[in-house]
Amino acid sequence: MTPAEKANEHLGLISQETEKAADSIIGLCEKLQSQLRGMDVSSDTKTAMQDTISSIIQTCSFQDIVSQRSKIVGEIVQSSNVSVEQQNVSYENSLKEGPATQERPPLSQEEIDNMLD
Amino acid sequence: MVDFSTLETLVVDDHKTMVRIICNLLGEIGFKKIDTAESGEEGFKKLRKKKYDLILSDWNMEPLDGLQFLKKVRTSQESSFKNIPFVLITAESKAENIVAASKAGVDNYIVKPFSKEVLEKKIATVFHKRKEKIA
Repeated sequence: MTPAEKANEHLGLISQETEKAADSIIGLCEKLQSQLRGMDVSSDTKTAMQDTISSIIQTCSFQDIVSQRSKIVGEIVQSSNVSVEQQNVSYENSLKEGPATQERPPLSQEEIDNMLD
Repeated sequence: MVDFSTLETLVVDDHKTMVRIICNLLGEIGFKKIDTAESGEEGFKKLRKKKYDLILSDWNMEPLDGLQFLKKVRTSQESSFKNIPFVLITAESKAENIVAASKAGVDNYIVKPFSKEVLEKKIATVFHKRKEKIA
C-alpha cells in the first residue's frame, strides 16, 4: 500500500467514524425531542430545552464538512506523484519561503447575501 | 408570513447525516411536507412526479452537483420547474460559485454550518422576494 493509499484509508475511516458518531448524536437528540413532547413542563422550559437540542443537532453538521474536506484532501494526495515524505519536505520549505500566492478566503453569509441582493 | 406547514419541500443531499439535520430543523420551524433525494438525478425524477413549492439542495454531490441540478431544473422543458424556489445549502462559499449560482437562477444560498434561525430567515426571504416581484 502506497503512502497515498494509506492516507486515503485513514481519511475514509475518519469520515466513517465521525458520521457514525454524528448519526448517533442526532438519534439521541430525536429521542429527547420525542420524550420532551410528552413531558409535563412549562412551555418556556420546553422551548428552552428544544432550542438546546436543536443547537446540538445543528452542530452535528461539522460531520458534513469533515467528510467533504477529507474527500478533497484524499483526492489531492491520490493525484500527487510525490511521496508523503517528499510532501513533508516541500511543506517545510514552503513554510520557510512563505505562501507563493494568497488564496482568497471563503465568503461569509453576509457577503453572499450582499452579492445576491 | 409564509405558512411553512403547507409547503411541499424537496431536500436533496447525498450525505445522509446532513439530510437528517436539515429535515429535523425544517420540522422545528414548521415544515410538515418534506421529501428527500440522495442525488440531483433522484431529485429531478421526484420533481417530475410531484409539484414542489421549495427545493433545498446541497452543492457537493456526484455525479450531478447542486449547480448542475439547479441548471437542469431551470432549463427544463417543464415550464413550472423554472419557478420553483431553489436554495443551495453548501460549504462552497467562493465568490465565483455565488455568481454562477445566481446566474443559473438560485433564489438563496446558505453557508454551512448554519443555524435554525438562518434557515428560517433565508427561506422566508425567498418567499418574501417572490411576493414582492409579483406585486
